[in-house]
Amino acid sequence: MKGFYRLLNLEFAKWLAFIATVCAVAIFAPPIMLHRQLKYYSEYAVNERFEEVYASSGSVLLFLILFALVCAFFLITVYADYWGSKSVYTYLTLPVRREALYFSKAAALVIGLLLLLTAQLIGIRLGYSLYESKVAGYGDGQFVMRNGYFLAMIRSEFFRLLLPLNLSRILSSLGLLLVTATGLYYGALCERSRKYSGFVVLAAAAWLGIRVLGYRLNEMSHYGEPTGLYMSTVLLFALSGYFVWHGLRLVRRGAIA
Amino acid sequence: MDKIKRHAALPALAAAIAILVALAASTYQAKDSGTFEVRDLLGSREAIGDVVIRGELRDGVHQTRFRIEEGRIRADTELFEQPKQAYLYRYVPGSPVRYGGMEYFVQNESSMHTITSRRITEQGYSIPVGSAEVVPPPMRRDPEDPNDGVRLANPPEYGLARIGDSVYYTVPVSSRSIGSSAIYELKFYQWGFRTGIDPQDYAHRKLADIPLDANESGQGTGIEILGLEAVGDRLALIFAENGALHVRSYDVHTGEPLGEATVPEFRLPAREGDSGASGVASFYEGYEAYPDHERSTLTLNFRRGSSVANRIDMTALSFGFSGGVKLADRTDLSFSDGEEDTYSGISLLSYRDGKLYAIRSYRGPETEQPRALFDIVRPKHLYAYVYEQSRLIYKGEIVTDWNEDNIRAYNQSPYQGSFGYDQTDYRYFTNIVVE
Repeated sequence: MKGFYRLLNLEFAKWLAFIATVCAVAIFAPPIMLHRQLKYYSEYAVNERFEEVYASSGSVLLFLILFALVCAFFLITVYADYWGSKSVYTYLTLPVRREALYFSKAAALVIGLLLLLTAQLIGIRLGYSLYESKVAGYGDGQFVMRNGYFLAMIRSEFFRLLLPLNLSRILSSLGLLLVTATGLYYGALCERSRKYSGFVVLAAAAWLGIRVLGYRLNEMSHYGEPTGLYMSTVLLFALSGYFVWHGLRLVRRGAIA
Repeated sequence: MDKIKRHAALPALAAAIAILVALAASTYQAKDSGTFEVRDLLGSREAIGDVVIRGELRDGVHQTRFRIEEGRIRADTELFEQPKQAYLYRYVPGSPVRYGGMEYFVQNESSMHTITSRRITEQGYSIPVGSAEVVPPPMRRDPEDPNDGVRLANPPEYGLARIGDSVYYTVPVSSRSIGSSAIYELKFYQWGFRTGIDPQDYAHRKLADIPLDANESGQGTGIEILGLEAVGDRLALIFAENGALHVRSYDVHTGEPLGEATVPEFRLPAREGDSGASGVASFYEGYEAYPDHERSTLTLNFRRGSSVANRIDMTALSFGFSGGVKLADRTDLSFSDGEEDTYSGISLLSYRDGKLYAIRSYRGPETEQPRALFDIVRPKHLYAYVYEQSRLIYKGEIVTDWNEDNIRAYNQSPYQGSFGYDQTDYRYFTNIVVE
C-alpha cells in the first residue's frame, strides 16, 4: 500500500499544474463568457433563462474542450514513459506490485476528471450568481426567478448530466465517467501491448456511451416508456470492470514494455 | 512545495467528492424553497378550515404536491426520475371526456353517433379500444324555420356518463327532435372490427325512455336534453322544459325514475317560442358538472350572459340525490378577477354542509404585466372562494412562483413571430380536489 500511495502521489504530482489550470479555467471562464452574453440584457430585451444563456455563451463547449484536454493530458502521461528516458522499464522493475502501477495512473485520471467536474459545477454556481445580479439590476426585479438556480439545474439536460439528483441518473453519470476513464487507459494499454483486438470492445463501449449520452441530453423528446437506464448503466459498469481486469493483466504480464 | 506534491492526491480527491456532495445536497434542498402560501383576500381563513384542498403544481421535470388542511398549507416537491411530457387535458366542445383511465369520444354523424372508447397510456396519448353506435331520434323538419336542422342542444359528449365499468349515453337532443329518445347502457365492440360483428350481439340495453311529445307541435320551447351525469350509483338526466330546468334521477339497474327537481325561470338563449320577459339573463347550455359521489350531490354550473365587461357571471345549482332529487342550493357567482384561462385553467366547485367552495384560475389583465405581449404568458392567479347562502364569505389566493416561468417570454414581440410554449417548461396546476 505504501508503494501504491507513493506512486499515486507521484502520478498526481505530474498533474498538479495542469489540473489546477484547467480547474481555474472551468471556474472563471464561464462567468466571463456569460458576462459577454449578458452585456445587452436590459428590461427591454428578452431575458432568456439562465440555462439557455449558459449554453449559448459557449460554456458547454468549453467543458467538452476541457474534458478532451484532460483526456489528452492523461494519454501524454502514459506515452511519456516511452519517449525520452523510456521510464516504463524503470516502472516495471520497481519493487511494487504491478497493480499499483495500473491503479496509480488510473486513479490520477479519475481524480483529474472529478476535479474538472467539480470546478465546472462551481463555475455554474458562480455564473448563476452573476446572471441573477445582472437581471436584478433593472425592471424592479421583475426578471429575477425565485429559486432560479434549482429550476435551472433540474430543467437543463446538460446540468442534469453533470449533477443528477435521482439515483438512476447518478448511477448513469457515474457509469459514463468510469467507462470513459477506464476505457481511455485500456485503449492506451492495448496499443502499447499491440493487442489490437481490445479496440473492438472499446468501440462497443464508445457506442454504448454515446447512445446513453445522446439519450440523457434528449430526455424530453422521448415518447417511449420512461426508463431507469439501469440496463445501460449495468453494461457500462461491466465494461469498466472488463477494462480494469484486462488492463491489469496487460500490466502484470509486462506486455506494455 | 515538495511536501504538498508528495501528499496531494488523496486530499484532492476528498475535496472533489466533498464539494460534489455538498453541491448536490444544497441543490436538492432548494427544491422546497419555492413560494407556496395562501393569502387571504376577504373573510377569515376558518371558512376553508373544514375541507382539505389538495393538488399539484407541476411541469415536465418536477411536481409540488400541496395540501391545505385546516387553513394551513403544506407543499412537498418531488423530482421526476425522467422528464415527462405534460399532456394537459382541458375540455372544449368536441374533446373526449375522461373517466378513470379511459377517454370517450363521440362523433356526430347525422344518422348515427359513434362513441369510441380509448385507453389513456402513461405517456398521455390514448389508444382506441372499443366502438359503439347510437341512432338519434328523428327530427321534425320545417324548411321555413331558420333553425331547421339544429339537432343537438349540447355537444354530444354531454350525454355520456360512466358508473363503474358501464357507460351510459343519451343523445342531447334539441327541441327539434321528435318521437322518443332513450338512455342506453352501451355495449362496445372491438374498435376496428366493425365488419366482423353481428349488430344483434351489440344491441344496447335501453335503460329508460324519454318521450319527446312536447316537441311534436313545434310550439313553445319544447323539451331539450342538456346532458347526462352520474352521481354515485344514480344517473341524472338534465333537461329543459317549459322554461324550467329539470334534473331527474334514474336507478342505474332498473332504469326507474327516482325523483325529479325543477328549477324555474331557466331560460336558454334565443329560443323561439320563448315567451319570457326580455332583459332577463339567459343561461348558456354548456354547463360544468361537479358530482360528489360520496355525498350524493351534483353541482351544475351554468354560465349566464353578463352585462358588465370582463365579468364572468355564473349560477351554481347543487342537487342532493339521497332519496329523490332536491335542489339544495342556488348561488349566483360573479367573478371579475380576470379572464378565463382557456389553455390550462382550473375550475372546480364543491357543495357540502351548506357551503359552496369554488376554486378557479384566471389570467390577469394586460395591465398587470405589460411586458407579456402574448396572452398565454400573462400572469395567472388561482383563487379559492367560499359561499354560504349565496353570500361570498371568503376569498383567498394560492400564491406560488408559477408566473416567473413566463419571464423568458417578456418583451417577446408577436411581430417577431411566435415562440414555442411547451407545458414541460411552464408550471401549471393540475389534479386539484376538494375533500
